[in-house]
Amino acid sequence: MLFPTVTFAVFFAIVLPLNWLLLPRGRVWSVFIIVASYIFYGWWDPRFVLLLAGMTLWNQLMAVLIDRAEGRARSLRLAIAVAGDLATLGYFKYADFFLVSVHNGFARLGLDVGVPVLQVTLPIGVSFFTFQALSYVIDVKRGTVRPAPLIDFAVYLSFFPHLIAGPIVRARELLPQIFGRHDPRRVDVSGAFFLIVSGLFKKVVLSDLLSTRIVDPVFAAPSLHSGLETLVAVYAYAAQIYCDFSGYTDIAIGLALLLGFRFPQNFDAPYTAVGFRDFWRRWHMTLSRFLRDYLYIPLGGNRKGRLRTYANLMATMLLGGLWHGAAWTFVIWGGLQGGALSGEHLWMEERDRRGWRELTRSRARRWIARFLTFQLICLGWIFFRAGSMSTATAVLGRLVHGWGEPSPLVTRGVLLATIAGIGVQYVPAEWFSRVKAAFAQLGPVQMGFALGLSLLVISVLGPSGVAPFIYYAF
Amino acid sequence: MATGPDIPPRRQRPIGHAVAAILIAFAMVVVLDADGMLSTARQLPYGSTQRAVAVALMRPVAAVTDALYLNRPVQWMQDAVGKHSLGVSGDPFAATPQPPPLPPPKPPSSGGSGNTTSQKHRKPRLTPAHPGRILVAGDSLAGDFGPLLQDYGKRTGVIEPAGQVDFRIGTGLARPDVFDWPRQLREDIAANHPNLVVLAFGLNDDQAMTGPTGNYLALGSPGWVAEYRRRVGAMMDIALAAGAKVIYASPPLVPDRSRSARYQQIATLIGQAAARRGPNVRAFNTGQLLDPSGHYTQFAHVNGQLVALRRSDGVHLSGYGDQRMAASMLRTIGGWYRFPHHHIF
Repeated sequence: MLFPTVTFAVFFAIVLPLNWLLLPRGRVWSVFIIVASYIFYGWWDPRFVLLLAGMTLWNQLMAVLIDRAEGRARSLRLAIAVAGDLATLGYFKYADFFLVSVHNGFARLGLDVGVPVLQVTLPIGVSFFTFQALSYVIDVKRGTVRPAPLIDFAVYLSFFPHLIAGPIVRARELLPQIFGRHDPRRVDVSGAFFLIVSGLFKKVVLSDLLSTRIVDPVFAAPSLHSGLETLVAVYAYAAQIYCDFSGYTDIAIGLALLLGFRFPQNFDAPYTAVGFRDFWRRWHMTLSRFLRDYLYIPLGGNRKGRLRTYANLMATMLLGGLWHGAAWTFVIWGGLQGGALSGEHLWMEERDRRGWRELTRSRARRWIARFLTFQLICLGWIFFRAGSMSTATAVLGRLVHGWGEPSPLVTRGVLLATIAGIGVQYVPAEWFSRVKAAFAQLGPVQMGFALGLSLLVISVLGPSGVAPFIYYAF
Repeated sequence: MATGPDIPPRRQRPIGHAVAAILIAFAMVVVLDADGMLSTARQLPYGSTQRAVAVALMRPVAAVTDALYLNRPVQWMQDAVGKHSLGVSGDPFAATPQPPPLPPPKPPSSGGSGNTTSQKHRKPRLTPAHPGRILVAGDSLAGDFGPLLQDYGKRTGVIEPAGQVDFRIGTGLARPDVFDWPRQLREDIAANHPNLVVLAFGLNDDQAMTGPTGNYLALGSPGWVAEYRRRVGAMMDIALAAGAKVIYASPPLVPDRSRSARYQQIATLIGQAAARRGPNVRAFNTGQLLDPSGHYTQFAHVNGQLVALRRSDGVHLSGYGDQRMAASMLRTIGGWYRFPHHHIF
């Protein structure tokens, strides 16, 4: 089920009141929300509900076994749990990539080994709920989370607002809320509505417009488009992917708020970052902290010397790249991020050693740092968006050679949407807070009219069909 | 988004307020945009209970709001941003010219060129002064291979794009109430003057339809088959009437076998409609091109290597799938015209 559809609106209109009616009734509510979440997930393909249920049973079993074990047995059981999760993820996401690579490797040596390819269809959201399951079993092993009852763990893993494309919520963030008391008299209604409406606007109006009007045509056949169109398409993609993904998570966080649950923030004005470390503290924050806590730090983080730090950064970002898909373009994207992060570490160490002043101290220098960081991020997005290396190089080629040709795709609407998608991140957070605070003062009738008017505007400005969210595929 | 020190903390509300606000917002949307809601309800699959209930609920609401002029504000907003209803009621396929008389020889109906030596000598040559102008229109499949086909054409130096590829996600010929493709194709042709029109429909057409008289046609029924063939033919005729040659691509096979079978039926209907219209129309059997064995394949063997033909959803084409389709289409164009193509194949 897609969030911006009438089907989902009807689904949520039924779930919301039942949720609050049943919340005081503990187990009954848990069963209800699991059923609702499975309907939400199974709407696309009912078979994959079995996968979700299987993942729930496997990880709960392993969490209980890990909790009961001592010493090395604990680590061994965690290793088995992680291996099971990664094997599942690997089967759906990487099995064919691996088998095809093996086949082609032998073929280059002149050997036909006849590797059978599996032709696996990727279940939507599999990466997200696998990562949540991993965080649960690892946290149980670390002792930061106690194994929850099966039914509560099932709620944690399947809770529909985060199920398809995050945010990646940790067990210790959500489980206490499931056990805890929910006061139906104190709900952050204005915050929820603000997030839902802004998320819908970003997704339905800005992201879909940029996608259809310039990004898709240019990346489908770069050689047909001018240098200006290509440049605008690259910036437009930066705006599109931000609006699409942050729009989804804004809606998810808003829906969860209405249901009485708080999710962690996932984006914090990422294109205002003054460097790559800053960027990764602001972009897909729940994935960044997952990679940091469950990959980078266990690899040694920055505790084992300079070279090891760079290697760990590179390994983390390369794996982060591969998480997005089994393709060389994602490897290059991950490599660019790892390289930029390592370069930034190196620069900061040198700066401290030599006693140089921090570059971002002055306002002008901060803007220069922002500008340069954004350009490098956009360079990475070219590889992220291009379906193949040849497309990526063609896009880069047009940026150099395609100038002086007509640019019919660069329209006022495209430029406005691009500027809006990027510029909204420079609006001071206090302004949004003031709007939300003012909105919170409205009575339910006025709030309803404001909400209705916003939905009408989005409906008028948006296209007739809504394309799937970009992060569905990951 | 931290709250600044001078910003009052947000007021927490009872959930009843949220439910009331949502109901008011829904009511407002239903009343002021009843036409849009009715249109959305009609877009649900024919024959489903969901559609029957939604349409039954929204039809009287739309009639009342129209009578009371309550739908005007949204119409004004839509006019202001240049947005109009994309669907149509009635039979948009009826207004097309009748197909030309059946020619005696049956043209080849496959992804290949199928030209003979004698035909080759008769083929006109495309030149920069008399180029091919290629328009691609259709569902998301057209969005996959279309830009690449235009790119390949451009590389010949004598086939230029006639406008951007016009692809609409989730559309087809089964539901003119969702998107009026006959009208759109006429507009595309009038605006871009193509002499080659490539159409790709069918991915979203494996569903029930209503016939010209509003009669319900179950998917795959004799009535459905006849009506779908008529619609395919009407699209071909629109392009033929503008003096263009037509390539009409069927949907590819997909992992779901029953769906693949329906797509193969659509391919058959496209072949029949093309055969009736003579040598200026070619049915392009995508399933035959990508899966000559007749079974869905995710990967193709190319010079001993395995290369993905589809994306991970199993429906849309990978970069290589697009290349294969675009190159084969260009060969089909080569069945009509002579043009330099050695650096493409």
